[in-house]
Amino acid sequence: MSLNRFSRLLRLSAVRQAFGFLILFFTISIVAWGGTFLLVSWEMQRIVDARLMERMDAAIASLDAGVALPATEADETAGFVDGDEKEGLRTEDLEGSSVEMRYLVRTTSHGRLQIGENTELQEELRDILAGGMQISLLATILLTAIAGLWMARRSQDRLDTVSIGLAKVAQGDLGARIALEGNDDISLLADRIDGTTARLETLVMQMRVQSSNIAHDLRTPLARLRAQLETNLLALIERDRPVKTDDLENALEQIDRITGTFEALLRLARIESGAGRDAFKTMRLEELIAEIVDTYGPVVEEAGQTLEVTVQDAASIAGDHDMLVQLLANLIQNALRHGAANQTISIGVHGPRLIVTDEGPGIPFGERENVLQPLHQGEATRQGEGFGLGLSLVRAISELHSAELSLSDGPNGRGLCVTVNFPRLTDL
Amino acid sequence: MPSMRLLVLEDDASLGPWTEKGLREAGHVVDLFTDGKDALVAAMGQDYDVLVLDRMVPGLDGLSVLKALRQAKVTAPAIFLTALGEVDDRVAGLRAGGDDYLVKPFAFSELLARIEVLARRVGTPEDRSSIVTAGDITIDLHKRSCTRQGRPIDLNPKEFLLLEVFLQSKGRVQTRTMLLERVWDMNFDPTTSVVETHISRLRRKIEKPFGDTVIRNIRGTGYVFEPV
Repeated sequence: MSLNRFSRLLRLSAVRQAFGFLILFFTISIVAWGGTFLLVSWEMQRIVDARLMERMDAAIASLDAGVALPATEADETAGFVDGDEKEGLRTEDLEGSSVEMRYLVRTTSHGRLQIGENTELQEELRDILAGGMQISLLATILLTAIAGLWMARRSQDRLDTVSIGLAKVAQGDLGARIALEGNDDISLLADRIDGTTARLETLVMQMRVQSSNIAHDLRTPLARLRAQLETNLLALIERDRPVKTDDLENALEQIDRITGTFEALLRLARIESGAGRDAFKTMRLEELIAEIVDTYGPVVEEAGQTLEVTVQDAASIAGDHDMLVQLLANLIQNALRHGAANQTISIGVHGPRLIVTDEGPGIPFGERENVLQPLHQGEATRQGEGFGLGLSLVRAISELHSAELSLSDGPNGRGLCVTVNFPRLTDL
Repeated sequence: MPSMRLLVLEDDASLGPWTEKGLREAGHVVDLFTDGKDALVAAMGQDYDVLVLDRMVPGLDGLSVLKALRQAKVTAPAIFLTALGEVDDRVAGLRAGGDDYLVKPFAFSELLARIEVLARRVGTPEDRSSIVTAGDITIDLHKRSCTRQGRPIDLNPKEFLLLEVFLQSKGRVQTRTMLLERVWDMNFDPTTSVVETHISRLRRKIEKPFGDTVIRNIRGTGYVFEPV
């Protein structure tokens, strides 16, 4: 392994962590096992020393009683030594052999007495203990290192999977998913990232669809306008027919309509981007409805239709006043445009629910999801002036307000019933 | 409308002269600039009745020009012309000291109507009393009541507000967009005939019983209130 590769390995957080733990574990093991070894050695020596004291006391008692020294076992010694030997306990290796002896020397009234015991066995035990401990220490450290590196490698692999997945997304492959298996924090993180990418992919796809729809929505009226102007020009050149006021007014009107569509598209994009949520204010649905009725009541009446309002336990909601006015305006416009002649348009408020019902042909069940999608209407309806954006705006505004938008049949299976269910203030 | 001195900052080679020409024809004195710095120097040097500023011009942009002017205590009303139509841009313009905001493309009549409203706003201080009278029509802003030739006329809140706007800007054109903003507080085009419907109802109450016309429809532009 080259130095470069090694230093790169050390930069991996999981490997670093494993390394740190290895050092910590190593230190703890050394301290624990060294301590145990010392304690065991001391304890063995203490037992031998106690035995030597006991035998010394017995020997002195025998000498005081005038009896001979007690008999010694095979690995014991007892006898008088000359005055050179220091008093107390000492350990001595016998020359020429591996035998280790422990002696106790004490001066008695009978002379300088030395009691000895062969401690070869204890020494061997200590050696075995030390050996065993060294082996187990080495084995533990080796195994810990292997396990640590394995675990580090494993989580590093998982991190690498996440990192590679993200790199793919960064390169523009929004279809890339990390799809990390497992049930830990890293897989949770990976799931979150996948969720974000999926949302991003949907948004980008929606944007692509929208751009082409925008192109369609603007190109079609532009083509119409161009055709009209060209006809006028040709008529002027070839047949000397002067351009009429009507022609110009017509052209201007079409330009205004195109501008209107453009404005609505920008507005939709802005609402869908989630802007404006921080400007939400608390408002009463009742007051909002009253305002709308003031504005649209006469419009509906002039169209020969009836506007009916029912309010029941109206709740307060958090929202953007202008957007909510637009939502209601669009729903009423929609009802006016597609409803039956002489119909009754009803606006109802029930708690946090806003319901607008007309008596028109309604929308077939299969089409309902489509009409709410941004600019997904069938070609037939798309030709209408700026229409197709009305319900999309309603959907976008509902979404911005975390409100649930649903379409259903009106009462008696007739007409369209649009329900916008706002979250109650307490649920926010 | 008396002649006004207007500053127009617009760098577009065709929109600038078009605006200048249109305003001249409406009887105003116009100084057209294509560079923000020149416009700033000019506006510091002399008093203009209204400043018409494009947001995106070379040198210094319209927003910065107005900020600098407001710092220098130049209080002339300003209207922004812009291709940026987002609400945030609108807010930024108003915050910089702008008084109005017009998104391109716009109708010239819309621009003229708005400029004239701005000029009037500072020119003659609004009548503070709660009684506003125009010709034989009188409204009481406190009591929210309206009389014509002494006869009380029953108006609903929106009709009253509409009449109030007309009375306070008599003789000046109110475009459909201006009315939507001032009466309905709507910054979007409701496509349905909200303005038309309410005006026709108002006229039914205020004109029909008296057999004359006080609110005139100006084709392709808007409405103008002309008291008898």
